Amino acid sequence: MKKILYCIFSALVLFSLSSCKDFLEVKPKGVILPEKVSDYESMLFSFTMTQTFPSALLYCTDDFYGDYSAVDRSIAANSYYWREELDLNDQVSPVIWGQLYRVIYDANVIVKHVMAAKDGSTEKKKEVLAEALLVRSDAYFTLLTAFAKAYDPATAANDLGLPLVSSTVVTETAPGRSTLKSTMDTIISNALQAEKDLPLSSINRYRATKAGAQGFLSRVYLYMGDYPNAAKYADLALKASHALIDYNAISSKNGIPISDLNPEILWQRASEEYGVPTFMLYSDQLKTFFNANDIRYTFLTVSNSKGLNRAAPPGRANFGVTFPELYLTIAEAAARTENIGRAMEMLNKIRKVRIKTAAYQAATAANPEDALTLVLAERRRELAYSGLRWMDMKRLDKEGRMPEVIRTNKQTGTVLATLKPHSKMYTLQIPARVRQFNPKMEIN
Amino acid sequence: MKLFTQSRKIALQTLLPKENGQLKRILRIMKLTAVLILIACLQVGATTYAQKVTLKAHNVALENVLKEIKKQTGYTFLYSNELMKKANKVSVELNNVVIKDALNDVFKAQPLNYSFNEKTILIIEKRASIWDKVNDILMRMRVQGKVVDSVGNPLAGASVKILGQNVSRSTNSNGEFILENVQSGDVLRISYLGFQPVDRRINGNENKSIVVVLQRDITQLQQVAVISTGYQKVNKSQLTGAASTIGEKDYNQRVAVTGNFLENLEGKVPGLVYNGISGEISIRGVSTFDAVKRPLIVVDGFPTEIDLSTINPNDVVSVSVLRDAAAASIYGVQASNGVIVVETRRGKSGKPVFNFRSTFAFQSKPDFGYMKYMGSEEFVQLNRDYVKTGNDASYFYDDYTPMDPVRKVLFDQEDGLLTEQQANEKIAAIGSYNNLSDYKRLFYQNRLVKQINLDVSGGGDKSTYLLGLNYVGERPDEIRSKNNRFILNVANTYQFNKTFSFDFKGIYTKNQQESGKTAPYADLLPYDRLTDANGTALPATFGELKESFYAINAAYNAKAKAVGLYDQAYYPYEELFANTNKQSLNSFRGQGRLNAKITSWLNLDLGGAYENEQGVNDQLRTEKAYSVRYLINSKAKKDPVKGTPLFIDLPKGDFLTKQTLRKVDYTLRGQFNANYYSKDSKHNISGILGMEQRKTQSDSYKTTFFGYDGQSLINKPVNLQVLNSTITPVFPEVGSYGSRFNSASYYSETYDDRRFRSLYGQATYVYDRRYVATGSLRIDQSNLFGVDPKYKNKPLWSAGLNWVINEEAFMKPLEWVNTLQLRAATGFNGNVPSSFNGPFLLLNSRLNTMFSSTELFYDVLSPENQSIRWETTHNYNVGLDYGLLDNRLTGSVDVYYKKTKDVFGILSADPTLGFNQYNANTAAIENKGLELMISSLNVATSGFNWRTGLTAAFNKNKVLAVQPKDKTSSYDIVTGTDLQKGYPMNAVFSYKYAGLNALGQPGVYDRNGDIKIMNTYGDAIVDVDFEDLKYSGTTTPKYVIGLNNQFTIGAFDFSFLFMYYGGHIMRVQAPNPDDMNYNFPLQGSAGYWKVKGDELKTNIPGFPEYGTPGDFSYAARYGYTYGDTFVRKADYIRLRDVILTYNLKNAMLKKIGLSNSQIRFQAQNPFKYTFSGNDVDPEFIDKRTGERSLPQRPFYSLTLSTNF
Repeated sequence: MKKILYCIFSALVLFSLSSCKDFLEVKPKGVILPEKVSDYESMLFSFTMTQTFPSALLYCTDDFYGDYSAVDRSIAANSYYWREELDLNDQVSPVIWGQLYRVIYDANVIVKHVMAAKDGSTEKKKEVLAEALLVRSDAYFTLLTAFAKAYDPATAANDLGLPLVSSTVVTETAPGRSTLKSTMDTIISNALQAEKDLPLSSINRYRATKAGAQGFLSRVYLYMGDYPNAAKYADLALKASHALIDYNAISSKNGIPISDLNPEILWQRASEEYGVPTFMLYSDQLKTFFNANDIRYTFLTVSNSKGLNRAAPPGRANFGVTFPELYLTIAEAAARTENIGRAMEMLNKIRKVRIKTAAYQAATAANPEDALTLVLAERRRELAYSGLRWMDMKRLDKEGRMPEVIRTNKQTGTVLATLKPHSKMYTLQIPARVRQFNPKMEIN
Repeated sequence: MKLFTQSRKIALQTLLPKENGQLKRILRIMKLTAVLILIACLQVGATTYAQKVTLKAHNVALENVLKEIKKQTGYTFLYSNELMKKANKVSVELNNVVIKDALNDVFKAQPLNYSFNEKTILIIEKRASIWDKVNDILMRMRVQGKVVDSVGNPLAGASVKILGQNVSRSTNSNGEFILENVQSGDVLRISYLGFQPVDRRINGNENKSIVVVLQRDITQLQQVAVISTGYQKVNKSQLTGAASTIGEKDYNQRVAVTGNFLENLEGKVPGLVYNGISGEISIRGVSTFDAVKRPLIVVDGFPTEIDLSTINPNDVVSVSVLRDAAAASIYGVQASNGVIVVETRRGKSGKPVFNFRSTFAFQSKPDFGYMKYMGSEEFVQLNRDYVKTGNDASYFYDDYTPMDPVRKVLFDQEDGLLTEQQANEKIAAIGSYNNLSDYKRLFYQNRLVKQINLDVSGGGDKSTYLLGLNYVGERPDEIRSKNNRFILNVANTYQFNKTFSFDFKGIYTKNQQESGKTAPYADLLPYDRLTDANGTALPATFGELKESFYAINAAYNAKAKAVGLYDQAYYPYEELFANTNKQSLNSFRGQGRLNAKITSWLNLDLGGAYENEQGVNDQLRTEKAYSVRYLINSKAKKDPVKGTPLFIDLPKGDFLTKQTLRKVDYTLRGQFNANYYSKDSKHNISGILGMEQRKTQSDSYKTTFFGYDGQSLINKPVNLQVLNSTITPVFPEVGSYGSRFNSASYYSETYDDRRFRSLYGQATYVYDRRYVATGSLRIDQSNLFGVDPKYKNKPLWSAGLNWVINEEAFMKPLEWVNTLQLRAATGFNGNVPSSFNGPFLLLNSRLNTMFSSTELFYDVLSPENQSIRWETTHNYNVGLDYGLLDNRLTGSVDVYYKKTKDVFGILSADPTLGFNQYNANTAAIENKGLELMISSLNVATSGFNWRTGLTAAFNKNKVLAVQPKDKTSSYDIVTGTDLQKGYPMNAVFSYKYAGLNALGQPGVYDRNGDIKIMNTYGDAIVDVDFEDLKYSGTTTPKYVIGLNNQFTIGAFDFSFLFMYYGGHIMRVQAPNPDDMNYNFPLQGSAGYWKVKGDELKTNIPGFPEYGTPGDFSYAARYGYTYGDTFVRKADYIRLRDVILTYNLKNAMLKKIGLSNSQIRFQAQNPFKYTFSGNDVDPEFIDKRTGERSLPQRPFYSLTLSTNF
């Protein structure tokens, strides 16, 4: 009897151990299996999805003068000299490509799963989805400016675009390159869908709004040469509340608010490289666009023994859409559609707040070409180091408006590299690492 | 069962003529059929009453005993069957005893009595008469005695027990005991660990004071027959896997001076490699990258997760090392790297016995000469050449960047500010000083350690106790450092009744460490002065870690001070006092086990262990610390009117960072233990079946006080929002780059909760003591979601066989073979990756401080990957155990093969899919090896004993498969740790260095013998590939041999342990002038190529002259620094310890009650020999880079121990 009791007792004890079913159900903390809308939304605050501008696209522009030695093989030097391969080697994540396809991965996670999130209203889910679509469009667009030819509607259906990835499973194989046209169509249709669902305002300027999507569309259409649409979306975006900061009213650049509180910024994008464009040297050519009456020339620069450097911006530098950019887009579209009055009106809105009041005179143009020249020059001044120059160089080169760009050693006068008009170098090569994994991928 | 076997053997030996093997075998078979009945010896005696009886019986029915007595004596017994039913079973040992005494013994515990009637003996029921009672009392007596060893030393704590009764005593410190109520004829068994037990019969007429002399049991000392797996104690003859045990005596051969219990294991267990410098421990090689590499450590049956310093080496009774699957897979996924099972002391019943041990240890300052730091003069020369060749110029510097003072003079000379003579004078003045001896004096001291251990143990029949205290106080070799550890431990056992027993252990540990900050020597230029004549700290040229990015030069520093900012120079000697780290760790571990006997063959263990560890780390950085000053300076704001600094966002003052750590874990276990014998005892089935639940929870919190004042306990508010944002310093006086403030370094929280539930079982079947089969199975479930459910319930198992050859009949003639058994086992172990990976997408959380309002964000930690699996290791082991010549020569040989599949590693991936690499099951690795252990007693005389122990392990590791990796630059191969198929895990590849050409350029040979000057970043990339490189060997030793000799010469014990590590290689640092810029160059680096022709004299590349044909990129230099010329064999022998013990036999000490007193002198690492050149110590070198680390001098200690 006693023994039976022991057996029952021991069986009970063992059973009590195994019966607490919840024991193994506790999830580790600090790690998240996304399931709520807020989980996906939080991804939009990540470094990955906010630092989407590749700094290499600053080093390759004619805004910049680099004192890299001829044998320097850093990414900055490789970009600066428009070398075939920008990367240090074929092991590292390739510049521009690796960074932006990672952005696309994160966006795809949201696109794929957010509508099935466990909580949240459909409206909220759509907002998060819309923002992911916009970030993804922007990533594809930046990739296009680097790895595809400048957009030409006549040849776009045959030109090479980008692999359009939708999978989030890393063990799959990447799709081949789509055409430039279908890549561009995807960018626009996604941005249009985003524009439809995005909210009117957001928590800070890194997070997208309806106007942000419109501003982005305006930028894309300008690149495509679709000036009516570029102007249309710029106009729409300008309806969002904003202000231009009058540099005459502030005593130093410290008067400019930190970037994500800056009323001139519509949709902020940061760069993956912390320091850019601080201490990047102004090229001699860029300096020719300024004179002493231009407050930007003093406010936004620092001089040292090496030359004229870009000053540190208040807060993290912005490479996303700004309101001055939109004014200039409208001005350019107007000049190109021979509306000189509107072009000058828009141009002067910017000039008025950047040029010393005492020296300010409204700009005028005799003909549309004159107007366009003025607008493009103002673009150099206003949008220097704002991440748009490479895209501008590309589209201007296509229409024959880009002069030769030369890299020289200032001490010796040796020419180290030349970017000739219509050079193949305007289209970067598909990185070696990507070619390795995708031997069938067509190269540029 | 064991007892029975022994008695049977003795009986047989008495009975049989030894030479008659045939008869012996037949009789043996006959006797075996009668195992449980009775075995007796017949002796032909004289007549009637003087008949004598010789008989041994264990639990035999009275009737059968009487039958045997009848057979031997001819007396007949008269009794009824009714009466016999009331009789108890009999256990007696009679040797030639007269029948009267024999019957007295047999009937002692019977409810029956007997009476003689001529040749007949009548059995009647016992009635307790008054006479009987009086007689009983009168017959009882008091016995006192003394237990001594063969030399006459008293043995304290020896156990004295009356056989067949539940009475036992321990001897006191004088070896004396007193037993009351002993009856004539009672047998006392006197036993003491390490001695052969003695049985002494007490006769009524004998002197009631006895002296018992115990002889040392050499075989028992050499062999520990039982191995604890933590879950159960297994007889060695029933083991099928590879496991070995170190007993208390062997473990205590050495004093673990600093209280690290792992220290004493080196060289004692084959296959176990312990690195005393790095603290790494491995069993049978390593076969994983990402997953846990350390063996599981089990204390008294339960795994421990807390700091290993809680284990007091003075308490260790045995350490078992489970090496293969059959031994270890009962621990499931945690056992892939083997298991170390530690058993600690429990009390022994008897009078309280106090143990006292005190150790004092000394080690002189580390040996800086070994580092071969370049002197000042040579360093100056390097600077001159560096500047002369155009590698440095003043225009490379920003206005505020600090400059090497020698280069500054040279630049000034170039600029015409100084004449050559002035420059030379200045440089000579700078280079005449070298700071190494000052550095050593200011930052280092001799290391001192003291340890005191005191414990008391004792107890009665029903319970025992042990209470111990241990204190270790250490003054490490770095000035301002001190460590203190205090352990209190309790161990109690209770036998409540026949059914229930309980056992409890508790440990409380307090560990405190304090240190200042020893600035690394590499932070300094050799001519930087540390202090002025008054001992006041002086600034170094560069900043902390020789950085010149945030650091500013003296001119700018003066400007900074002038505007009211902190002095921003780096004062290495000041750092020692400006930084204080205090760590305090309190740990508690308690465990209990209740055992209930259910039937004779089944019992139940219910137990658990609970551990709680609480730690606090205080890091105080005063405002004199460089890191504090430059951070505050760079975050200062400016008064718009006065232009003076405002410390608004980050106040002036000290930083105190406090981190609390907590770890709580428990194990609960319910386990049935069975041990069943068949009636004829031919079959034995034993095993365990249990369920276990484990939880390990750890968390930590970190917080920081700024503007802290330790006296007033005041701290000041900060503006974290602003501090986190990225702004350049307001004051250009402190440079252009604002130092980063990452709030996660000041405030953070971690939390980890891991839970396991497991079902496990183990079974052993023994047939006829000759054939053993074992099997085990375990299923682990956990809350880790890194594993696909389909792999979650994967059972881990083992199976093994053991053939106990010495039990075979045909082995009996070979008397010199005492033990011989052949084991074979196989099994499956798993390992859990330590990083988070899984088939699901996992996100981690962080804070994005880039925004003006900080936001939480999630980002991808590991992408979706459906192919993830656990790592699995398949084990095979075959072993042979032997004991020869009365076990004077014992040992074992094991051969193993381990194949680990699905090893976790980094897989190179297509960045188009989002990731350049991710974690995946990428590789398969095999480990095979041989391990042997030999222990021999070479000489055993009363005055001199010599024992030798040898352990040897040979391990071969090979990567069988690895996911194809893409082309890698040769530099990545020679410096990296990537797996290469067909080579060991830690393979090193080198360039085939071709020396210098006439231009001074270093070249390497490719596979065709052509010389290449490598250039990775030039316009023409020149590189060699894998096929052009030379395989140099592996950095993991292939052979580990420990040779231990122990001598006993009279009162002295002397032992020494040699360790040999071999079969591996190391890279040694090349003398390289270029190290001046990044590292500290070795002496002799200045003998580099300067002009044409030097290539005939030297192999050292110099400084390439910019723009000349002889220019070469730094990639070319790798051909030299990573060339095969700087790879050496790492084989070395080290005299790990020499120990001399003097056992005090002073009569004075005995009088004052001290026994077992010892004085022990121990020297650790007094000698080493490196086969490839004794200038390098393979224990103090990074075998992959060749970088040296400060070697430790020999460590001497003196220990006093005694019992009272």
